[in-house]
Amino acid sequence: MSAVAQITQFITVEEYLETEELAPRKREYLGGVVYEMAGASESHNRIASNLSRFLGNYFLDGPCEYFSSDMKLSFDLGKLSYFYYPDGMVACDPKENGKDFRERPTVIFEITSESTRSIDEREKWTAYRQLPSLEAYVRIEQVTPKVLVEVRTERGWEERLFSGLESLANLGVLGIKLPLREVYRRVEFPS
Amino acid sequence: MSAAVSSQNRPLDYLTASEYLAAEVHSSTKHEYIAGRAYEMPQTSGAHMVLAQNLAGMLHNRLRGSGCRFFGSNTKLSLAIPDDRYYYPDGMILCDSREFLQSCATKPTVIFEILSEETRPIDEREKCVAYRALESVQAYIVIEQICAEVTLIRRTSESWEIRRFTGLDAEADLGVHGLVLPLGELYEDIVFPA
Repeated sequence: MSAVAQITQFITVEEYLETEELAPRKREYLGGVVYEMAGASESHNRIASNLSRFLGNYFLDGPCEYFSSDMKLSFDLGKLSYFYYPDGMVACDPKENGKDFRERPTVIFEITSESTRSIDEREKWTAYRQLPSLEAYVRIEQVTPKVLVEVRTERGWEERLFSGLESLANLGVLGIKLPLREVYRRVEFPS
Repeated sequence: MSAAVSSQNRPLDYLTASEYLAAEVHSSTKHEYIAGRAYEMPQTSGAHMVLAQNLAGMLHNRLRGSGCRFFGSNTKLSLAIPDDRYYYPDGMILCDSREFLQSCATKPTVIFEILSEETRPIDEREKCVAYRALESVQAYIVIEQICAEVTLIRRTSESWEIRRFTGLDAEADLGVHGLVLPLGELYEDIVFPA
């Protein structure tokens, strides 16, 4: 009996990008190792749709654009290359137009749940905060109306917590104010 | 119906490395330190502890006289990759005697982690990257708790290779320090869930 082994093979960035197009499931790339992404729950999908609609409308025109989870994020930490598919990104750098991935997003969103929490909180936060372009990292809880924002200020990264459906998550970046009622439209919370 | 919690200069749980180390000395539980935050390590299961003991016994005996020693999970590993981190790997092989009597290592040649459901995403992802960023590390070995399976991630001249050893009859040839670990010995007294 084999456990659910995640570490299966080492491939180069080129091999990853070539095979990723044909891969049946999206895979993250962490310094040579690929990790297949799990499917998303109904709540996750609903939150993702809500973000796309709200932020897609907010960034209809202008230099900034909202991408949902089919856009790769690419960066290097030290000598190792990473590719993630964040649940959402706001990208504002016109020089990145025409590419299949973004390296300089301004805001990153992750929809978090029990199974991804440690990854979103540790692994991804550690990586994302090192992106020079990033102004905010937003974690959206799936099972309760709660949004946690890390925002870059002159004093360094600051954390802001917004909870309850009546709350308005003011990211403090690009004038984005997310009503939690919109984020969680149709989402049912376990009792 | 709550309003936003107003931000402070930094969250209460952001610490500098020095603050973390000072707190850790007095703490009754171990914490890992990543990106300015301390994370309490989960309790380990009985099986985890037996595996750790078996591993320590096997490696202590095999490494005697080699100039290298095995260290268990009370020894910290310090990394700067470039962010400062402190981990407590389940096992490390150190070959620099100047580090033997320290509570914190920086140059292990081999790192071991025993998997649990809670730590699996960290051990297989975050640590798989972090540990390989250390130039001294020749191999990272991940040990399953729920079945007889050992995964070896070993540095090659160009890159890294992955080898998986499965079943109690298997022998894990680590390709470093001449170590070959029979899984039957590693998993002695371990009972796997049905």
